[in-house]
Amino acid sequence: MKLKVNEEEREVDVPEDVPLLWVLREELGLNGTKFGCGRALCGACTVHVDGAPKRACVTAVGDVAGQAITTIEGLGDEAQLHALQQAWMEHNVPQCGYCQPGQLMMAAALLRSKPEPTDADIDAVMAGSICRCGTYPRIRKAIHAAAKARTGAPKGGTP
Amino acid sequence: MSETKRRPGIGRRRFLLGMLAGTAGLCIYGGVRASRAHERSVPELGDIEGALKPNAYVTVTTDDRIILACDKQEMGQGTSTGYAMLAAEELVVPVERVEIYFPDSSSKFGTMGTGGSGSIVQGFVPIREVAAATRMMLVSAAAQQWGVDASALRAENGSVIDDASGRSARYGELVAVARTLPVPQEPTLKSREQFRVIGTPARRVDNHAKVTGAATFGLDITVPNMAKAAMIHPPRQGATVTSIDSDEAKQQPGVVDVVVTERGVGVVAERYWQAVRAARLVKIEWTAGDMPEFTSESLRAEMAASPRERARNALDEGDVDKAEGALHEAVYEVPYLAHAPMEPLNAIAHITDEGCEIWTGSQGPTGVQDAVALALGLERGAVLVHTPFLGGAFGRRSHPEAVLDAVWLSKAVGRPVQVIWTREDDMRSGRYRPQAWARITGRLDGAGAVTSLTFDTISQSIMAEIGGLLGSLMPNAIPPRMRAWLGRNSARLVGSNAVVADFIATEGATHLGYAIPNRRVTYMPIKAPVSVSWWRSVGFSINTFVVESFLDELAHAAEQDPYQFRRKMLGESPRWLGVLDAVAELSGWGTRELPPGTARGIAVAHAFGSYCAEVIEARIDDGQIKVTKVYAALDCGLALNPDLVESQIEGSVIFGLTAALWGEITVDKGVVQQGNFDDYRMMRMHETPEIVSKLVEGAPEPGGVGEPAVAPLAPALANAIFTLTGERLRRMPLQAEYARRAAASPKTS
Repeated sequence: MKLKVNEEEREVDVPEDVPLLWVLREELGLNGTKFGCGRALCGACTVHVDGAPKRACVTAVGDVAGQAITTIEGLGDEAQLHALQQAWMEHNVPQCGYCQPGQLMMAAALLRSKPEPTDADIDAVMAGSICRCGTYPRIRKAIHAAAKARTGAPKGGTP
Repeated sequence: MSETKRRPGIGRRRFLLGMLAGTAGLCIYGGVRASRAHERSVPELGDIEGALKPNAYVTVTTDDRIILACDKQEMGQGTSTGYAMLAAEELVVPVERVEIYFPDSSSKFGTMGTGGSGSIVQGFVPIREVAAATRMMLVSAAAQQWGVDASALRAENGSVIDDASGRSARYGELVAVARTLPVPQEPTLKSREQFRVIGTPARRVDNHAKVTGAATFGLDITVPNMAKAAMIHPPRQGATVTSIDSDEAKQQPGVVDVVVTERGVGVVAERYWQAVRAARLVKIEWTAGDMPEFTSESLRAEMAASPRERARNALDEGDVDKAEGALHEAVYEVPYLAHAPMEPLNAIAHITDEGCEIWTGSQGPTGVQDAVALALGLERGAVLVHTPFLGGAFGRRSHPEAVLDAVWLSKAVGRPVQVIWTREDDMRSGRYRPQAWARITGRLDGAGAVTSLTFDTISQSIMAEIGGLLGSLMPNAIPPRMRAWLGRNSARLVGSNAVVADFIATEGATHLGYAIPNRRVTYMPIKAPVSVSWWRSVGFSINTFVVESFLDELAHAAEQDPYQFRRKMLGESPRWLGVLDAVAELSGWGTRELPPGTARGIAVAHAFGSYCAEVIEARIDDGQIKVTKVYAALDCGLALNPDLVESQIEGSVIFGLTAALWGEITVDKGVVQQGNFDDYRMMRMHETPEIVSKLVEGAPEPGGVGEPAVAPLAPALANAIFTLTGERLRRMPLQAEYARRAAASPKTS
């Protein structure tokens, strides 16, 4: 089966009903996408499929073959981190850090649909992502800061 | 030091943690201990040929890298950033110049373990000392090369500078000479006025790794030829396999073996998803387990009805039996709680001819060594434990159950095996904050002063179950089985109440700042087939709820303002009073009107060397408790990094409110009823209140930060609900208790 992950073509040999999460982690060595609950309850495994957020733990790999899959490893690059990643660092958001790839992918999807989200927009989208360390107040601040940084910046750049 | 009214048994847990720190401290400057000759090790980040490495912690390389071994585990609390800051301060470099790694298990670091909010408290002096000693060697090397006195030189931004001549040399250029110099045994530390890093809101050193997905947790580690395993744990504690049919599972693609172990059944496969799928096909019959009819509901009744003959005093001051005044009495209850760290428990074990290698995110690598050594009949040094980042812990990762699962499976299949618990395993397979019951009484005299306070509690003893940890505090010279025996029996002795009352079970009730002349605290252990553990803020998470709620009851009975009522009793406890006054001011207590339908509650605690007071504003929306604002004042003495201290307050508030509102693990016929985040509710973004915090500096040394702010949350919330509705909620979780009261009394809004 052919997968398009972070703009690279990858070939995997697994049954179509295997969860995308475990294909990313065990077949492709992309460990940034995390296992938290296995039932789409916590958001730690969030990736983008054709730009929309998906819970990789309940997404059959066969359903996303050929579509553009983006993981945390593909959100920004070394030379140019995503504005959210920058803001996350500036606000000292992470604690244990385990849920943060999922939080960032969810926030990136939010900013794509709402470049200047209100608190209510943030609540609506980020409510699905659990952080047991309790970094929500900083996530909120960092999303606002990233939105401001991006809308103030020239158009284009990382997705 | 902390101020509390005569405190027998003050901080025995801190003493225990002090022992941990002490053993580390002894090893900082020393050479190789004899016992290390047989210790397994592999090269680590700090082991670099030709580098200056005057102690176990600091490495300076010829190409100017500064590397620090952080022997405390990073579970999100920020210790690795704190340690980098302490080293940066004395090495006079920016924090981001310090590369951190988490060293493998080694007696170089004494007993390795992280807990009790103690890492910064324990490392504050030693980490600066090892860094200062290293800096002094580099300065001496420059002095020797230039033929000047070391006192004429200064270190600055990774170089040694001679202001008189304008010469300077980078640390890397001085390494070769510095390596030949003696290690200063009593390094001079910077004075408070000289601090340039300590006290600043530095960025976390792990930010970049954690926002790019590069941070390595136990779950992310792969070792060559590793198989993956899913566990089928017994449905009831103590149950074992009576019959198993694994034929179909063994025929599934990728399945290596299905193995019955001491703690259940492991399904080993090439891939984890293969193991999980095959596990569903295994048919098992189990024995009934330790107490097949056990329910947490009947434990409530048993606790309430228990005669207290075996109760032991944890505190007895004045004479509560002769105190005068009107008697008030109440019973409080709390349920079992799971830790639910976001990273489910996991571990890799690889058994070889030389011993066993383990990769796991543990809060206690030395305890892991001992548990594995005991299971395999090895010496501690034959077990090598690698520690990555921990994806949350909150006390849960103090215990090595997942490690032992991996050990037995690796032994059975002859390959390295990674065991990954599912979320359901994590929630159902043990280790909970104990369920507890407490009766509290107080007397109020005619002037509304509290003349006595008694506190009688009953719960499972956490101490009774930490024999492994106590054993790991003992030196290598004692054989593993002897250490285990000593640890187990000393834990049981404390847990049995035979010698002293379990101090963990009563913390939060014993050490109070209030001037109450007659006080007694008693504890009685109870047995139940549910394993218990530390859970962020431990005994305080139970007892502060009881004490601070009940003081609120007394304040209302005395028709006094709850803040002023506490204030009057704290005249001799300035740090208690300091945070109480600070939070009152911060929240506008008594000065700022709240919107209609909103009320506030207040509570204060002294825990882990720090003091914390909180005010909560809450309302009821459609029968649901809604917390709108939390104000927190924390006196942790010197705040090494104020921004990270505030992030710990925010995290504590969310963790504490989650438990106060909804947290409950229930057991029915020996089976844990909750399994995932749909029935063990977590606070989420849209439910998070605004959190306003203020730091108060009541001492020049740091206190604990990770846990103190959890303690006052539940009582502050219960107190707000009482003011709002007239309902006194004496049982957690508060939302469920409020709903029961509202159903019983339709008038409640």
